[in-house]
Amino acid sequence: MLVAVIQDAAQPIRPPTEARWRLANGVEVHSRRWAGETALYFSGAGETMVVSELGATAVEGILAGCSDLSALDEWCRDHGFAVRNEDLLDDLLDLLERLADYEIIEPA
Amino acid sequence: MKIADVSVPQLQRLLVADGVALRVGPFVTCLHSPIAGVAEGLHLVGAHHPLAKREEFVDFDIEIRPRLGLRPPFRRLAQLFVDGIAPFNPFPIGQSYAMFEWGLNWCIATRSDRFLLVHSAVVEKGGKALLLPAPPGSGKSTLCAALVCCGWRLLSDELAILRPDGLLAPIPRPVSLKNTSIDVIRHFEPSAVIGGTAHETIKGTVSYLRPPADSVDRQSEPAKPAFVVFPKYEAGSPLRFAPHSKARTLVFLAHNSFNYHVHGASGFELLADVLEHCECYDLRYGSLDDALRCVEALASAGARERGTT
Repeated sequence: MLVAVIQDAAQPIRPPTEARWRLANGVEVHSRRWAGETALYFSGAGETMVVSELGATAVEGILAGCSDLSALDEWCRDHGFAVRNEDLLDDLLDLLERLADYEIIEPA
Repeated sequence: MKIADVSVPQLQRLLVADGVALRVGPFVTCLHSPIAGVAEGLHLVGAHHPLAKREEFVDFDIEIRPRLGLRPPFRRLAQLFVDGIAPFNPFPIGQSYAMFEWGLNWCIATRSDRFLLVHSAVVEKGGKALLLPAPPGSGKSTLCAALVCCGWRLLSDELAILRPDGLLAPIPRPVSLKNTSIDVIRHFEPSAVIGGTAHETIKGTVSYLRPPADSVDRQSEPAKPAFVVFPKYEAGSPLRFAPHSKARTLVFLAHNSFNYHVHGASGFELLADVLEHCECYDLRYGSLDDALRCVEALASAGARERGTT
C-alpha cells in the first residue's frame, strides 16, 4: 500500500487546463492538460511525465487526500472512471510506483 | 564588416593576431587559431557573419592550436581550448573547423542558462517558426537544410534557443550535414555552398552548409514558435503525417533540453505556454520532396487561416 506524503484538499479538484499545487513537503506540482493527456512537473524530483486522464485524476485524488489504493480507486470511479476492474487498479498501482520512484510519494 | 569582406589570408592573420570576434545570434565568440583549415572553413561557410565590434563583450573565447601526437605515427593533431581550458581530447588537425562548430555548440549548451535550450532544428517562414526536434539520424539537419534552400529562414540546425518571453532567438550557424546528406543537399540545391569538410569523425564525414545571407542579416529578429514537427526519415517509407500529443511533445522537449533541469518549474511553464500556441505533428517520410511538400502545405494552411495569403 502506498500513501501520499502530503495532502492538500483545498486545491481545485479538476483544473481546466493548468494547475499548481504546493505540497507541505515543499514539492510543487505543475500540470498542463491537453486533449486527454496531462503533463506533470514535480519539483524536487525535477521529473516531467505524461499521464492519461486516469493518471491525472489519480494524482488529483492523491492531492485531495486519498491515502491508499482502494481510496484512490473509489476516487477515480467517482470522477468518471466508472468501471471497476483489475486494469484500473493495475494502472493506478503503476502510477503510484512511478511517483514513489521519484520520491513524490512514499511507501507506507 | 562581414567575414566575406576580408580575404582568407587576412582572416588567417586576424585569427593568429588578436582573434576574430564573431556575432552569432545573441552571442559573441572570439576565435583564435593559426590553422589554415579554420580560416578557410570560416571564410567559406561563415562568409555572411558579421564581425563583432572590439568593445563588445565576448561570451566564448575559443582557441584551436596545432600539436603533435605523443605516440607513433605522430599524427598532426589539434586541440580546442575554451577560456584557456581544453574540455576535449586532441583531434586530427583536418577536423579543426568542425571542432570549432562542435566546440561552439558545447559552449552554448553549457553556458547559456538565461535561455531554455532544446536540441532541435528551427526554421521560420511568414513569421511562424517550425521546430524540428529529433534524435541524431532522423534526418533533422537534412530536412532543415532543404527547407532553408527553399527559402525558409534558418534559426538553427541544432539548438532551439527559447527566451523567457517564449520567442526563439536565432543562431544561424552553418548547417551540419553528415555522410549521404551532403550529396543529398548538393543534388537538391547545386548552388548551395558546402564546405568545412571533416573526414573520419566519430559521426563519419561532416560538411557544413553556408547559411543564407538573409538568415544571418536577421539574426537579431526572434521568431514565434508555431509548429513542432518530429521528422523521421526511413528509406522507402510512405509519407505519414499525423498529430502528436502536446503533453508528450512537452516531455520530449524537456528530455531533449540541455538545461531544463536548471530552469525547473519555470522551464515546464515556458514549454507549456509555447505549446499552447503550437501545432504538433509526427512526420515520417522516405522522400525529401514529399516531406517538403507536406511542411510547405502546413505553413501555407497556417498562412491562409491568418489571411496572409
